[in-house]
Amino acid sequence: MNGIITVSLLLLALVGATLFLLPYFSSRRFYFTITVAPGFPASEAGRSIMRGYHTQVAVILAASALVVAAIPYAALVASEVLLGLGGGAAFLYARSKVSRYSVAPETVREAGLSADEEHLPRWILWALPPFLFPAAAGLWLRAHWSEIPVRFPYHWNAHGEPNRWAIRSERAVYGPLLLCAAIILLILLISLAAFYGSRRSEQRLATIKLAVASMYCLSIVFVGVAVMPVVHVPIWLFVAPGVLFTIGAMAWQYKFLNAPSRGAEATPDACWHLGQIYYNPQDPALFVQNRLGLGYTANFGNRLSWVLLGVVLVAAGGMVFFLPRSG
Amino acid sequence: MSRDPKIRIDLALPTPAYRQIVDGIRTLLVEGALAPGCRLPSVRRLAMELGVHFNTVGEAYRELSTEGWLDLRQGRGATVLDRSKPEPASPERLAEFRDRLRNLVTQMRAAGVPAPKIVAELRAAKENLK
Repeated sequence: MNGIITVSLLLLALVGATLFLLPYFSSRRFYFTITVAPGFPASEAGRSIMRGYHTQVAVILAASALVVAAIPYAALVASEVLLGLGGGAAFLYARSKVSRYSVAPETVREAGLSADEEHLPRWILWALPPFLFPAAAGLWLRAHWSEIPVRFPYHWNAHGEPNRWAIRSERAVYGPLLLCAAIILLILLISLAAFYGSRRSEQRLATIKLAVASMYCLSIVFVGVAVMPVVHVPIWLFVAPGVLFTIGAMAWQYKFLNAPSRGAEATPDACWHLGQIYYNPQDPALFVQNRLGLGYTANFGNRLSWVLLGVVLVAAGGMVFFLPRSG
Repeated sequence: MSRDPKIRIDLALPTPAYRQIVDGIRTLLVEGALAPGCRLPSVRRLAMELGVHFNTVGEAYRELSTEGWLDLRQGRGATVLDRSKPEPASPERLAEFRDRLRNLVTQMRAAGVPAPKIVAELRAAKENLK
């Protein structure tokens, strides 16, 4: 039980810290995803809204920690749900307060007239090795097939003890590798769609860099899981790259988004719903810059975005078939 | 001459976006910033960059094509033409331009632009012409 409490508290700390810092992962033009005057965040009203948000997150975090202590058997889910919903509500409340101080977005638009169709930079080739890792692991597992136990674990609990097993089969052995290849391919395709379907800006390449880095991280973790039936790999070796990648990616995003020279895409506030969903049928862009965090979000006012969403959902649903079955 | 000539439009201005695009590109053409043979971005790409409807850019390209500046061919986008020197403007056409120029100067004066500044702007415009 202590293991669950420890893991729950660690997760709470991670999610709590993310919620606490969330408003800072935004371009200087936006405050709680609302377009504001440049000096607004430093103004008394701006600081008061931020203080209120931080206080609410701290209260919700403390309440979630109490839930962990009171009902340890459901701590993980209960506390994370409470913190996630509460934090989200606090953010939206702060957003509604900021909206009173919103200013009209920039109406001046500039466009280059060079027709050099934007070619992807050569470093995009670095997106290929993550596909080679699972392929190499698959070949290696094939060569060591006889060493794979007839029944092997594929899921572990918070104590690091296995709690689900699979019977040796091609699906069970190669499934994680195929799942890995499918996920990273989907990440790459979405990144490329965002590159070609959005306005030119530095953020497009930065988003692809982040996507490629996440492909490496996922590939390493999945390959580690796939070879576990033959090679004992400590659990922390899976957790560590994920945590390190998350922290590194957040630090990099913060630095990128807060660079004084960085411009932000001017989109109407009225087209943003809950600060995250963009719907603007007048905007021909298929993807627009997120107002929170680095990356792009679909313009749901563009019919093609619904087609893409459908393709992504079908692809994600199809990936379930790569998961091993308990045996 | 800029390596990547740019146009700028202001959606808050009363002038329609398509007119601003036509004027912006024409200025670059007259100044030589867009040389014959240059390929312009596709209608879809330019519309996306400027945040305007595809038809707005399409209309602007068509007008510039009618004026003899652009070659619009299906699937090849817009290419800047080597526009042959037009015939000297007729006295009527010249009078029309004179009226428009006077109107513009009057508007500038009405907006509070001092006369020396207007002269400087006209001189700068002349300098930019090749």
